[in-house]
Amino acid sequence: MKHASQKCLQIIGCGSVFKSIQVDIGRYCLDYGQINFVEFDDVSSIALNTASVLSDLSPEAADLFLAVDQNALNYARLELYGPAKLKGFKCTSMVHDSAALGVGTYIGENVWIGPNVRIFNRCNIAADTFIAACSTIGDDTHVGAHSWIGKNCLISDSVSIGTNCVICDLININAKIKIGRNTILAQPGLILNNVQSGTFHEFIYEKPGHMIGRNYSFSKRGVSK
Amino acid sequence: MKSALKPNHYFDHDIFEAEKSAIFEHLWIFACLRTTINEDQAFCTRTIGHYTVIIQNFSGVIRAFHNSCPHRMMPLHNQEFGQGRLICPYHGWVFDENGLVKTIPKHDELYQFCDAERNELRLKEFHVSIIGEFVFVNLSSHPIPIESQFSAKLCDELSSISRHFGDVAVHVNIPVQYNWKLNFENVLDYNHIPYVHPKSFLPLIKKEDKSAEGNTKNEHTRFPNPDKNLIAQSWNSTTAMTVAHWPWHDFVDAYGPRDTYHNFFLFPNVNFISVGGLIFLVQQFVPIAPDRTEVRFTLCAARENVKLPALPAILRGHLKSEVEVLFEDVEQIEALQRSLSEKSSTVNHGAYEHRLVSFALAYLDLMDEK
Repeated sequence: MKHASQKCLQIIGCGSVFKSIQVDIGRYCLDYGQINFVEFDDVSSIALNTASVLSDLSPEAADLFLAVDQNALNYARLELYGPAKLKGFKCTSMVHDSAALGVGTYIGENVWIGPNVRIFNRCNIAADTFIAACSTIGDDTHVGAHSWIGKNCLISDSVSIGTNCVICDLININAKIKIGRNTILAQPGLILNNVQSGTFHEFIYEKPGHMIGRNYSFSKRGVSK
Repeated sequence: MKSALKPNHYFDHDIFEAEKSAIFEHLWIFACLRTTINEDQAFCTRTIGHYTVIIQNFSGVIRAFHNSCPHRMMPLHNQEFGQGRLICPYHGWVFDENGLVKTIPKHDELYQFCDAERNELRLKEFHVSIIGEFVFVNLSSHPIPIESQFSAKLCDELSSISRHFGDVAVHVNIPVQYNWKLNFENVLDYNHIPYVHPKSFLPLIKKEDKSAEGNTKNEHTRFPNPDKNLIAQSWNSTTAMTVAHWPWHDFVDAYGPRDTYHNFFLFPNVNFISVGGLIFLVQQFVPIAPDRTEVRFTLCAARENVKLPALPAILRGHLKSEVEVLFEDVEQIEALQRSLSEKSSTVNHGAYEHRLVSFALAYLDLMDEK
């Protein structure tokens, strides 16, 4: 197996994170012999072009970082990440040198930690999750895979965020709050109560939208088995 | 042709109250899709006429009850959708699937009801009828036959299309500032599309079929006379439409041919549409006040043949597009509502608006206003 410094790093994607990494690549302390950027025109071209982009690469010669924003509950990024993992690629994580990680904090693969992010102790940032600039995450917090935390967020201690969540800019989440999977919180402010899976708190809706039916509104509360 | 409805039908409080009894507590009213309550004890709550109603699944049987504990009238369920037994959150009374009180905590110590009194402590039950996956409730103690409201042909088509519904949906309630009838009239009026939706909806309709009544195109030479019969107010049509192909379309059990827009009108307040038999949207115009309505959107995709991990993103994306189209209507209809007063003139309908004229006549018939 090649040491990372002998391999090449392919940064593939599009959007704001891709561009910010491109202009600031020297701040990520990466140990690779060569770094290449492959930019898609837009997210709609990812599904069509993923196979051809990956077919030109081999897991032995290249590691990947898949940089796509939070489009479609992060499933646009997953369209790249899923096939890459199936082909056996190792995905590196990118931590900006101005970010700070606490003791015992675990960072999964293909995680992006942006400039001036603070993550305190014993946190778990699962694979393929992006945390944008100037956000802070308190002790013992878990952020599920394929999620997104925007700029200037404050996630307090012992918060649990499910998979495929989008927490937009300027959101504060109180301690011990649980945010269910497939949730969008797009309105800046303070989250004081748990948020059930499949909640879409977006500007377009005065009242949040909800996923209902199998595995959503069927919460099993008070149901005799 | 002058409309039979006067301006005050859209803002008068007494008329609004009369509608609750004459229309919403008399007719079969759409409550929810069965797919959204298809597990044991799954429920939804609705306000219909003067009542809040629970529609709940009891081991596969759907029943409807007044959402009001007979003790202190506390609602048993407060969520719009959920899953849980019929337990009053205030004092813990438990009700069975027949609406009978099953357990009253500390009954002998605190309540001391005699047997006769206890037998009276039951939830008021309402009639339920299910067409395909569409659950309807009727609040009347002697409901009209549902066949007198929806034709056999329409019921067959609703059953047929709804067999393709997936078991996960996305739901949102959108408060708007106008009378509910204006939105139902708006969906009946296909001629507003080029003016209100020139960039969103119009480009999708194929050039040879620009009338949203679809298979009744070229009808301009033979518009039928208005028909005030109740059963004539609920109908459906198809229109040729350009439906862009997405990879997930190959993994679902779609209904009918692609490139088709299905449009169902379910009197008094539901418009159900399907884009290509792939996406299904129920939009219901729920009266809140004479000049306020809640537009309820429930959207699902065709049933998955293989699990689609990105289904939440697919549903959310389509919902957002549909809501954006609605907002184009809302801007116009809210302006129309604001302009209405006692001094407003009566609407002048053209020949193509025979469906709106029929709607007004059927409405007045039910309201017993000649």
